[in-house]
Amino acid sequence: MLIITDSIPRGAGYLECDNRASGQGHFEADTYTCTHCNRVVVMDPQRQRERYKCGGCNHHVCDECAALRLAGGPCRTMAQKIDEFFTAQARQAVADPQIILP
Amino acid sequence: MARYSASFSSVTVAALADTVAATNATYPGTIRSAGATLQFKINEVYIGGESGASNPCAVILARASTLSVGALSVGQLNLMDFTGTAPGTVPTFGNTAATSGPQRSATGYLLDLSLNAYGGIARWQARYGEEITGYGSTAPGGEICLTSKTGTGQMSGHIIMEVV
Repeated sequence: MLIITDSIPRGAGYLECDNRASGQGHFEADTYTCTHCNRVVVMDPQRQRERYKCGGCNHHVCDECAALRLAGGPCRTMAQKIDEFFTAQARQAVADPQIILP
Repeated sequence: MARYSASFSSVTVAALADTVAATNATYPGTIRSAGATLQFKINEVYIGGESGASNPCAVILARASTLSVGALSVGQLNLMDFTGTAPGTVPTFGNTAATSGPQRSATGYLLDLSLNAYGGIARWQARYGEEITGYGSTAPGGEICLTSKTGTGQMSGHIIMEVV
């Protein structure tokens, strides 16, 4: 069993920027997607600061969402927001007297 | 679950500021959800530069603070599985809107793919389960646009997404 004790996300997404054809560099980095806002975070290999892992959803979030969370904000994932949106849509449809349900 | 490839070919982009309507044919493309209950998930974006001289571009995948209006055209949206059946409602893709283009949200940046369009490439792949989601038919969830913030290079590429 491998017990991971650092704060680095693993099994992440992948970003490649290859500008060697124009005489410039080649950059590759792992990425992860913030569960709260869906923003993709490119993991800077030079970063020393810890990446915040939300205790609510047990996932790494971006720095902006981490700041909101640390300021006392709730854990609301994008999946929750979408679910709430679709639930509201469905309720609205049921409440709409123009629609006759079978 | 239907996977689609949205592709654009040899588009010469123009630099676009946040919250300004994109001008037709000057951005790679935009994906607009076609229904209030539709959801799509983007799991890959690829851009390849085709300019004949150095032209650094910051190409942003972002939510739209104001959705495009009118039918979208110019750009391909194809089902990836040849034997697959298209869902009843499918998002639309293109870089030409019949009425007005999308406005890139100033706070909804999702990916900043920077490349030198003189032969450079930029590619992002999501980890499984960490796709970028678009949903509903209202801003900012209902549309995700790929636009250049700086740079005026020529580029082709694709966005792979799944309609849920």
